[in-house]
Amino acid sequence: MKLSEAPINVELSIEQIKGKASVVKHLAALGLTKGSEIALLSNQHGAVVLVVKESRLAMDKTMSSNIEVKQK
Amino acid sequence: MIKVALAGNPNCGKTTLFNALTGSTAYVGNWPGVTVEKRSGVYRGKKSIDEEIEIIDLPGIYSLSPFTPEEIISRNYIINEKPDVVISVVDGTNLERNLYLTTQVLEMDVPVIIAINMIDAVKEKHESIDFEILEKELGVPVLPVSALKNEGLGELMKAVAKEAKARRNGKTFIDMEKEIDVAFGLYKNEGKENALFHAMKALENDSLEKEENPDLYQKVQDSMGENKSNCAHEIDEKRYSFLSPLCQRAKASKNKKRSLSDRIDKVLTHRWWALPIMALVLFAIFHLVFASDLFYLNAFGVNFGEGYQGFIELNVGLGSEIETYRPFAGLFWSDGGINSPGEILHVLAGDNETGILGCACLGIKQLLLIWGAPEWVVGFFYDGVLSGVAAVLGFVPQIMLLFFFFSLMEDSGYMARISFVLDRIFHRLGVSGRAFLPMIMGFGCGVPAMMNTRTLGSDKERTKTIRVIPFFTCGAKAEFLVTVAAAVAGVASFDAGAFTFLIYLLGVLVAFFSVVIMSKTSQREKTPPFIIELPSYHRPSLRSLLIHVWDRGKHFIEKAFTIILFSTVIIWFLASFGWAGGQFGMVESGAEGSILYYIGTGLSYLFYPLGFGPQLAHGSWAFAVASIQGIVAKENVTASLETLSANIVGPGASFEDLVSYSGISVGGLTAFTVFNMLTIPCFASIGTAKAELKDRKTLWSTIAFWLITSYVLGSLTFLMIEFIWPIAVVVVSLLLCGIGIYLYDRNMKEKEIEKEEVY
Repeated sequence: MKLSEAPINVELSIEQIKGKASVVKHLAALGLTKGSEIALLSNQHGAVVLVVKESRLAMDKTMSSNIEVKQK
Repeated sequence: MIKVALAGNPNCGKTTLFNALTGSTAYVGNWPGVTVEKRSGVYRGKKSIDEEIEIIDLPGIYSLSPFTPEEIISRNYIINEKPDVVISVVDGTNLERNLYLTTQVLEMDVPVIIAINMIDAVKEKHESIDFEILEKELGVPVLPVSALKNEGLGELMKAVAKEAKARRNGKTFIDMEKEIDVAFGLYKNEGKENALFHAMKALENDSLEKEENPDLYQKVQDSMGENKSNCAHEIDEKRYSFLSPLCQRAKASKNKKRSLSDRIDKVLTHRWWALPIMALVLFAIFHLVFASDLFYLNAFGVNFGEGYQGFIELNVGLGSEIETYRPFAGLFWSDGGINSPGEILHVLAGDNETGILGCACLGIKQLLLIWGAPEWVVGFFYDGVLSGVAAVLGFVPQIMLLFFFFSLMEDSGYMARISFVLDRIFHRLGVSGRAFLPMIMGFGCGVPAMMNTRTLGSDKERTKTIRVIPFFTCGAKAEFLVTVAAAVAGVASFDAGAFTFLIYLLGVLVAFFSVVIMSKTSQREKTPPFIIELPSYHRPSLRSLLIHVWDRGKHFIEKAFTIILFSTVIIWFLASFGWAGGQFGMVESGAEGSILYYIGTGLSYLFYPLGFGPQLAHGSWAFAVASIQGIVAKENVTASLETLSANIVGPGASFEDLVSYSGISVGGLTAFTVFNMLTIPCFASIGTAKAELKDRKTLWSTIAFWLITSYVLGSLTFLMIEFIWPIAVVVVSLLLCGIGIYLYDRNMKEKEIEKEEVY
């Protein structure tokens, strides 16, 4: 499912990240790669706050709908 | 001298470390051609170290791939300037993500020391880090430090002095030996420096590498064969598959409990509560800084009599021409209510007649009078030099208080949440949520607001925001607005409060429409993806707050002594000299015959379509002069209107008398207001815009944009109020413009999509 549609407070893992190569690389630098374990703290119509490793990231819907996740 | 560069993620405490190491010698400099600041300073506690150590604070970055300008700056600095040592600053509470950057730095041929910062916070969370494991696996010294508490800094610098003499070859931890060996060999054979780093970047399909070493890049790409696109992703994943187990071994006790920070965020980024809370916080800040009726006590009916009268009286002048000043009248409360802390600071600093600055200015005037200086000398110093400088300096303490609150929001971590909460709304206008703060600051003063646009993502976003900042009615304009509103109430019996509110609203609407139109036409760009790290909430340190506030305040003071000083002297000269009785000489300030009078009369023809030009029976030049003075500083508009009214109508006449004497229509008066609200705000903001916009061309088009917008909207206001029927024409043309922009936008979007596909 898309990260923009994922439920909060559930452990998720990233399946795939789509989009421009430079953005995908930037996400990797922020800790988001294939296989990263994450959880959503909030999801407001696709604008999400998530926990990855030990940091919190906020992103808009355009970004979050390019990330495919699955529930663990 | 040993050169050391600090590299690390944003928010890893790098700047705190820099300030702790360099102390008060920290020097903030703008390097030409870059928008982001690099800082350098000298290490001050050099007890057991013989050599001087220069420390360079690179901008905060997440990786060495070119995604943001900061990343390019840092990467080029390490490659081209060849520091003797790089300190990789790592936030100990977020080890794995921070070490991602470190592994990239380790691929360069430079001695590296890893400083695990915020070690105090790690201990507070009952965690511990095994430095020996990290040191053994990464092959470079790993040292714990706490920049905030000044711990471990001496040891860090000792290690720097030792490592600076050593040499180190880049090392990678990516488990892809075959591909890396081939790429490394290609670069090595060409005799490239930092061969491993460049080879890795070529394997990662790095765009900057492709530009810089196109031939080698191509060879590496060819060597990968079919594997090309996978390789780049695999490298990122493998960095983490190396780091994850390492960090798990090195870091003990990982509690998975939701932190306090997360619980605060539950409320502050809540679906419903986020916006009201934010509005309340901002309102409280503005109220504490700008209000002159604290908690609206006066509005609720508390009577303050004639207000606080101050504790001293100054008599200035000689002989029979003595004037009495009360420089501290209204310091704590006035007839209108209690002052907010910010307003107390403002009155305390004062201008050339009030406050501390007033005492100094009046003192200088009195001294000049006692020494028998000629009238023009007194006028030059007091009205020319001191009045302008004092007017601007008087605002500085108040503005610094505003910055104090904003720094508090920034340092505590709340600002990042605000941008996120507002991004959804602002996205539709064509700017990101980060643009909100500079815009709202525009209600206070445009100068700090424009400086704040540095935090925005792209040049175009910055340009758009700077252009609309003046449309948010600032403090100086508010003062002018009060004067005009009273006059409007006098001639048209239109409620003054409602008039003021409508003008404020007009400014906001013009700003929003301008942003939308620019985003669709001249400042088109694909809205950059919005992603932001939300730092943990923490208590900001007073020291870093003060550094922050002083840094901004300094900028402001420099402006007062350069551009404002220069312009007030010029205006003073034009207003005080002219032709009286057929001879050139000094005339009464701003009177008929002064150079300013002739300029004003000439320019008043320009304002014919705005209804305050030559169609007036008397004194059209006064409106023109006031408008021109307003371009220097908006405070001047009220001041010169009052002076000129007395000159034209007769002694003791106020602006309201001039309005009825000149025969200006309501339409003309409203157009005069609209023009002055929307036009070039002041010299200080032109100066700031020049520093913040990317080139001269953008600056000139910005100035033209302000002039054209205010002139056109001013004319339309006049025509619509005066003749009614133009409303129909305006509505139709607005509709046509709207349709035109929509079609243009659609057309451009199609083209952009085509381009993307080709790419």
